Amino acid sequence: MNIILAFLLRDVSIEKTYRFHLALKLSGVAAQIAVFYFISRFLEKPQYFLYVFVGIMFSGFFQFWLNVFPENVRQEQYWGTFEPVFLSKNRPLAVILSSASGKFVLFVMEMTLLIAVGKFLFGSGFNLSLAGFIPLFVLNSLAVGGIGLISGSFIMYFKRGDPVNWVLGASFDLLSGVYFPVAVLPSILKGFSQKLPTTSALDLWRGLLIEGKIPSPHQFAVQAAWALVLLAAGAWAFSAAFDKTRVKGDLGNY
Amino acid sequence: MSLKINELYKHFDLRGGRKAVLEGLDLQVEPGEIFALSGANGSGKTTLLKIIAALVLPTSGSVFSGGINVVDFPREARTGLVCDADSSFYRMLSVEENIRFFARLYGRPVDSAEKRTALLFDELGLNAHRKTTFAHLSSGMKQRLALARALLSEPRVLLIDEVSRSLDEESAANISSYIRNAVSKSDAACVAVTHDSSWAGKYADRAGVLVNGTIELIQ
Repeated sequence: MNIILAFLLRDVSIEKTYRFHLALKLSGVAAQIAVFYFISRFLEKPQYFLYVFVGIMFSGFFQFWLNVFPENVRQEQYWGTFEPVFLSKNRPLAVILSSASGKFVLFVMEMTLLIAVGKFLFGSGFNLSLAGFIPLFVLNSLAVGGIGLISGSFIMYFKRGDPVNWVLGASFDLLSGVYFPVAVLPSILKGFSQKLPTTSALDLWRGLLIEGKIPSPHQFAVQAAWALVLLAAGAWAFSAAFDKTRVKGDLGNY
Repeated sequence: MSLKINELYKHFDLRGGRKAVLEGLDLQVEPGEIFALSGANGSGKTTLLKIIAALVLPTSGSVFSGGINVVDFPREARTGLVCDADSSFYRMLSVEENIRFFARLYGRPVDSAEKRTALLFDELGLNAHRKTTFAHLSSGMKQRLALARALLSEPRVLLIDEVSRSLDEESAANISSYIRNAVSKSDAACVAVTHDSSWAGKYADRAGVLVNGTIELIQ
């Protein structure tokens, strides 16, 4: 817990230092909320907007986990603190996972705000069952966080050029059904899209937040399996990249 | 705890071919002892320190601290490294915020971390700079802060890379005397890289030069 608290309090101190940046970030969220509000007044089919609203929420969630580790690695390398943070008695994987704690708290606040906006805009059309949402949120965080760890491993070793982030960042909105159902995709893409863990996860988010459907034990089990596989893959990739970077001797370079 | 390095090899695969940096290096440093290491630029001094700190993996060989092979990042190993003091802290945070972060990260309970920090800050003359942003510290104060961080966890092995670099004579003498006393009082084994041959004579117990990947002891 000490290590999580260390990164959390450090990030609070950094955010306090860059108050203007924090203010801009908050105004960005406010602007996004305003856009949602006006679209909801303009559109005659609020149901589609609700569909896209949950898609955008999930997209933000996906982008957060995909980017948080590569961004942290790069930032620490740039600041020159990447090597000193590994001089602790903690395992390197624990260090990198804990480094996301400050940004995660900010992200959860952002998500809470978006959920509150969803409730305000769509009223009873927007369902939120915490009993269903929290476990789904945790399992999906572990799964996408695993992909983010793989992405961070590439940055640690190659410094620049991360194929995971490049491919997934560009194709996620197209293939996971953020703006439209994947059923409208050409069959070759549809088959691929339906196999992606993010597509099934987004379907569950929509089922939960729009129709109030709590995922079945089988659906939870599938998400848990994805979480296990992707987190294990992320942990393995990080450990392998960490050792290979130590062989190169440029852990702190960027 | 003693530091024992056996048959240490480090080769880097570079674009122009393989570069051998360490070639079967052996070294033993006893508790409370300072070993001063010099050598030409690029001879592998910093690489050696980073291997001992487990930040670089050797090609082969072992580094034992108190019977533990430290190259595998064991949680029991405690190594303090003073290196790149100018750029290894959060520039936007104060001295206090920086040291609190590293104290928590290095696993010291809050109470004991506060006591240890207070003691180190007092001894190193950092108290007046607690609220100063790291970016606004002088080079001397940055070195002192780096030393305070390295000593926070009461390390078994203390590694120092050119402590007197960019310091005036008086500051260099002050910090060097402090290191000498701190190592003598503790059971840490210390390896200090220096380009200043007189430094070794004044503050170290033994000295050596890194030449062709091995250490030649200076009598």
